[in-house]
Amino acid sequence: MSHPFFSQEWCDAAKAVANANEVMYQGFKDPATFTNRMAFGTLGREDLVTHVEWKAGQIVSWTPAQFDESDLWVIIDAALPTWRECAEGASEGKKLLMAGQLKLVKGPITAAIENANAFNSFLRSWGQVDTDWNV
Amino acid sequence: MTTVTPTGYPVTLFDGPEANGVATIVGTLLGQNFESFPERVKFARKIPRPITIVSTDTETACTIVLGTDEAVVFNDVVGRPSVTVYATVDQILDVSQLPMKAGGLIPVGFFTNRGWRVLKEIATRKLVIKGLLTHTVTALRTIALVSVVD
Repeated sequence: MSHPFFSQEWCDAAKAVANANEVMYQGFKDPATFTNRMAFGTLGREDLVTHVEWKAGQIVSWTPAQFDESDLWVIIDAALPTWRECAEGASEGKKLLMAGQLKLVKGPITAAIENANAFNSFLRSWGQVDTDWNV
Repeated sequence: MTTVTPTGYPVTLFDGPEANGVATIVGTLLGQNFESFPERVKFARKIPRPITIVSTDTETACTIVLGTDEAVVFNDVVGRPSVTVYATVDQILDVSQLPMKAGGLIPVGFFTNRGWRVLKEIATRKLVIKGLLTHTVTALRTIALVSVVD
């Protein structure tokens, strides 16, 4: 059964997939210190925002928006078709960032550069979740 | 125009909200680097001519103009750049993680695994730095400016 994109059940499934993703973990510059909160938003859809909390390179919480913006280390926005493109592996996240289709709204660009391989693999792992994109 | 970060040496995106992806990334990177490493402003001011970065796999480009009081990042190629870098996204990511000392004049990053990989790409012309031989100091300073490493 497919899960609506960024719904709680989708987040639960994506969390399990991402935490089992060894390539993602190895892609962090320093997984042991990768502890932060991130938001992924959808352009033109304020209702489609998800918050991911990381601790030492593992996701401890993945939910629809719950944190204040001031508590978020990084915010990345993209159009819904772009998220789908990332998940389905049609394009790499790092290339979409350079093409301006993924937008770093808040946070250090250094983090995106130094953890680009982890970020790619993280986004690609979304494709393993049976996703209902008609949200 | 959009000012990326309010520092003593601000970086402005000339094309504002219409800035392309590579201009936005480079502008953000420069702005955050000038905040994290304010000593880089000194050698940034010594780069008299524009620098262009072409992202070959996204087919977009930006040009950095480093003035006395601020840096401006334009979409596409502007003016007569002394250095033009033609690189893939992966190559740009590699170059921006090379540690450089003395404003780029001591390129210690080239003596790392990543640095050797970059040199090999340059030698095989998979990564092209136009102006590397004629404007070597500017080319090295360019790498130092975009490096996220102290």
